[in-house]
Amino acid sequence: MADKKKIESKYIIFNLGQEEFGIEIKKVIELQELFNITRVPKTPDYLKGVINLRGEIIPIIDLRKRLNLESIQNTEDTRIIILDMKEIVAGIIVDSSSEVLSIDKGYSENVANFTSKVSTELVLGIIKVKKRNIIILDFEKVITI
Amino acid sequence: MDMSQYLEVFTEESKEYLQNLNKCLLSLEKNPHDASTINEIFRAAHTIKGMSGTMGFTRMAKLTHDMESVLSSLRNNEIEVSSNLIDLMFKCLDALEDYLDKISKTGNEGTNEYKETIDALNSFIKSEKEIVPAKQTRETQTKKDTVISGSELAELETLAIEKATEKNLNAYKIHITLNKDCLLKSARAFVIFQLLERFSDIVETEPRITDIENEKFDHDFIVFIVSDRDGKLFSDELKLIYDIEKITVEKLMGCGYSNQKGAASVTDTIGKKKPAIVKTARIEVDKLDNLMNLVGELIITKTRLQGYETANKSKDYRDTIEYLEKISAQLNDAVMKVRMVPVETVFSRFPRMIRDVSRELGKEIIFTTFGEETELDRMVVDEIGDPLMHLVRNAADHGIETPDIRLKTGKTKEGHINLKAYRDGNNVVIEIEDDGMGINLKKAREKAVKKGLINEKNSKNLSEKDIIDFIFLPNFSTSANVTGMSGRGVGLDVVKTKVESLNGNVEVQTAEGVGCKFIIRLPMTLSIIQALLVYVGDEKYAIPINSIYSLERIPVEEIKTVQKNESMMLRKLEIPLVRLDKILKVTGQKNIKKKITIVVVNRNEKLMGLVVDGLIGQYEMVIKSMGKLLKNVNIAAGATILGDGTVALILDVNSIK
Repeated sequence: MADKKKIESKYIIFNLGQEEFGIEIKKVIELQELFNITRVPKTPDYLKGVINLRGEIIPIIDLRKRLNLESIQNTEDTRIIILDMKEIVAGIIVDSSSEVLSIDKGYSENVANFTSKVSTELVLGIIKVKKRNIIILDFEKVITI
Repeated sequence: MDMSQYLEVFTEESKEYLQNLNKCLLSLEKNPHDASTINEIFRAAHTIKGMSGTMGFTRMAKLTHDMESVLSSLRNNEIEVSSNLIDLMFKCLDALEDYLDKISKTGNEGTNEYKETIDALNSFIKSEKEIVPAKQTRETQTKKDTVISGSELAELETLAIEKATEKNLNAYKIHITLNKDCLLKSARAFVIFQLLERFSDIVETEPRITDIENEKFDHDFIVFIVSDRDGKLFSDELKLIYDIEKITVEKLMGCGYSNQKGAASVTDTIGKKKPAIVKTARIEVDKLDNLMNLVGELIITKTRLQGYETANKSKDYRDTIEYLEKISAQLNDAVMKVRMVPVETVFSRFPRMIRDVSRELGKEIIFTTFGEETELDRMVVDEIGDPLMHLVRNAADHGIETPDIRLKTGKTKEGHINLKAYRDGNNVVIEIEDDGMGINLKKAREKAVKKGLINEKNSKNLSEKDIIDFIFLPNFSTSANVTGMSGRGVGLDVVKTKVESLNGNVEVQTAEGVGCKFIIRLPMTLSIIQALLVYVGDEKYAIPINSIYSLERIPVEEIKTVQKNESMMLRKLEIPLVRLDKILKVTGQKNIKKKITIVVVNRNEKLMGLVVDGLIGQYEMVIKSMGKLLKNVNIAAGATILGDGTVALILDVNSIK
């Protein structure tokens, strides 16, 4: 895990409700506003469907459903973050995202005394930045069906 | 010298030579005295030897060298063509193929020396030479054996002239200079020799052949030939070869002993920039796929543009769109053509296999192929090889009877297997037909009962087609326990699965004792299909046209319901109905309708009615992969991007239950 605790990485911060999450910017291809998603039958309910991203078919995961959080109505802040997970390109739907943070420390894997509604099996760790708790998800696990 | 950059050129070219060798050996077995085939084999082996030597693959070079010795004896009529010889040569080919395989994977030839094969080659000449005395002395000297005492040109010229006079031919001295940046100089040299030998006899070369072989020359060499042809022909033909910078053809005059040079000298300097031949380029498939994607994108964008509701569509606008449409259609065709390769690349694997199988089983089989030039998408060709191999092997192995049985049943001694490819609309059909024993339907039915697939009573009502369907089931039969039957169950499920994954289908026609015919129907390309776009609820789905049987619209009262299973009558045939909205779990308000729309599809050659909520129309669609994450979603065979930029799934009707 040591190599994941990179010094001075840029993170894209996104929100689900009150929780703040971070993802390393190098894994992010782009942010998109919500647009036409085609449902794919016979897949888990957190797989929202597929979109056309410049001719490529990209699966989209509803991150709230994936993390067992209650669903909310989409708003104009709702975003799709397109991630490059080496072999898979996929999108996640988040409530909003507007910030890029430079963080110069790694995450703490100790999430035991951290209280969040997010199921911990998909969480890699937490980064504390000036009283903010940024949750780092294990996207390798998040993006599976 | 770093050879790695030439590796690809080397492996590709060697593979072509091997393929050619394969073909020639098979034809040599049929016509053992065909000198031109022997020569061709010799030259191919020689070229491989030269190239592998140049590349530093010594084991490969050693093997081909010894092969060449045997071939050389053959060429000089010191030994004769026999099955043993052909077997041995095929062994060599297998070894060479193995070397090439290693080379293309790891960059080196490995450590296997194929000592056994080499020993066999060496002992072959010894043993055979004793049995078959040389029938006649050689007319032309073989390259290997030639020894020139002094390599003085004058002497060589004299030699050539002598030869020419002897046979009343012309002697030529051809001076060839290769490009400075020519790769594989010796290989080029052999291409040149090969070409010259078509029209002439090579008397000698300077430097010696062996030196040219080992690239012991700078950039030029001289060839002395005798021929009845005009000198101009040689320079014309040679001009077509790559990497030649300069050719001088000089007619050697003087009946006999003077070195006087005639005036008939043709010199050609070939500009580097001037292509004289249909040039080909090897392209990575990835690059082609990318190009294909971009064209697909263009077509989608064009369709979107067409749909734009501009307030005032001027004539100019319409004309431009029309032109764009024409161009993009042409571009699409052109790109598709690039991806097409003839099925020959697959078909050429079979004669050898048939030969091996028939020798092993003591059968006589005449194998004929038709329509090898038929073209298919490269990806389909790559994928179809194994299933075809399976079917052809089955035909030889289990279909064709042994000669004595054939004679007893009033057939010709030789069994026939025909492999045929032809185009049928947007499909390519491949047929594998044999005149063997056919499928024993009775045995197949008994087997189905034994396997518990159907009970004894119902099995009596099975149609021929139903029984044939059984043989495509996994593990239906293995060759071990169906010796009486044709044993065609072996791996047929694999064949079927593969063909269907390529959006194709397999059909079987058989008559017991008469033969069997497998008909494989494949789409010419995997990338673009014709499909019907339908509404299910308010979602859009595409159904490939080639799986659609008909479109029906019936009043709801005509739906029959037995134990919750719905069906309808279609021209006296009862076909099951499937509510797509239920299968696809489409949610949303449903209107009660008086009439329902049904897309009747062909699923595993059985009809099935899909109930849809509306038809949108037939479109040409670019099939897109759903990606790795969704690869196990079997309801969709892929997805396509509609004119409005949204995605629609293409239903895989075979997976609808």
